[in-house]
Amino acid sequence: MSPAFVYEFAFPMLRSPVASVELNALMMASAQGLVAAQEALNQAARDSLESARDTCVPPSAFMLRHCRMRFPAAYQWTSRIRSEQASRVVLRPRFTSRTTITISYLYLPKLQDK
Amino acid sequence: MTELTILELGESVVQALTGVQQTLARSADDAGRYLMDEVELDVPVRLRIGPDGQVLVSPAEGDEPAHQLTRIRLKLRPAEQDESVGLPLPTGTDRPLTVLSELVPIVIQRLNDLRIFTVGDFLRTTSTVRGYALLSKLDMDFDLDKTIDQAKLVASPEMPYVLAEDLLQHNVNSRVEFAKLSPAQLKASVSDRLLEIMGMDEITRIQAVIRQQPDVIYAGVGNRPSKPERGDQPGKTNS
Repeated sequence: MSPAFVYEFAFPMLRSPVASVELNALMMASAQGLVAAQEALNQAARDSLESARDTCVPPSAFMLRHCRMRFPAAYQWTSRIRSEQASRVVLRPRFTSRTTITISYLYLPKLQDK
Repeated sequence: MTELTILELGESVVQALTGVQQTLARSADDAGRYLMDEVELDVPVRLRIGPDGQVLVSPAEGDEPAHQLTRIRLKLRPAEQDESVGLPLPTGTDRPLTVLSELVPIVIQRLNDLRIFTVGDFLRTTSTVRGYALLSKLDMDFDLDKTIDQAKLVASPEMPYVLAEDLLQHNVNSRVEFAKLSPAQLKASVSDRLLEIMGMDEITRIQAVIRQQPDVIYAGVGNRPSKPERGDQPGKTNS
């Protein structure tokens, strides 16, 4: 069984080059970041498996079993004016804020013995 | 000051979550899959009850004393998801007010100003004494009770909204009127285009279901469903 990492990131502040970002966009970006990180770990595991035959170093594989991000942010929202639109929460990064957002993800590997 | 109803705030967060779930579902591969475990938002807001009884929230500006603010804590843990995850299919309650033939654009604009955008918003607001009283005082030329009947028809859980909207276009304005239609009247009250989609048998079956609903029976039109046979009660199995 591969070792399982629990990653918890607590950001005292949220820095961003943009003045504001929609909650949808921020959450999508965090999910895509998790996927990219795990894919890189999977690729490293494959490389490790292939090189083990030559180097005799036991192969290793890691996974982001549980990833949690916690950060403060200021918020605003855009209000719809017609039924076809949707109201959206918008986050504004700044140094202090009483609003806190926590997002956590799980990675469920397909183990060969299952 | 941007104000939303508390329902809109919840909906916008759920929409964000759904987008993430879809992204994660698409990212599954041979090695494994990803799940959203939990999202927590702690939002300080100013909260007030609107003139129509809706709960309205506006963002805290940062300079208010803490005791004047309400904290909304949204802690969401999505159920186990798979590749088919997505927003639920739209229902009649999600339909815009424009489908209600009684409402002219200027009335719809007035309702939008009160943050009433959909058939569901309209029914939710008019179901309260305060909301009904406010809308009945609107100095606009529309029949509130008739519009509520139209909205209830569109929002009927027993029928697809395409059927309800087709009936409205044929001047069938309520569930009771739909239940009253004879077979010949029913056939004349739906368009050929709808018949291509649904078929008359399906529409007749829906009418029979509507006739068994309490609101229609109360109006003296429907029939109470026959009692199930002994030993064939819902929730019990014959073994």
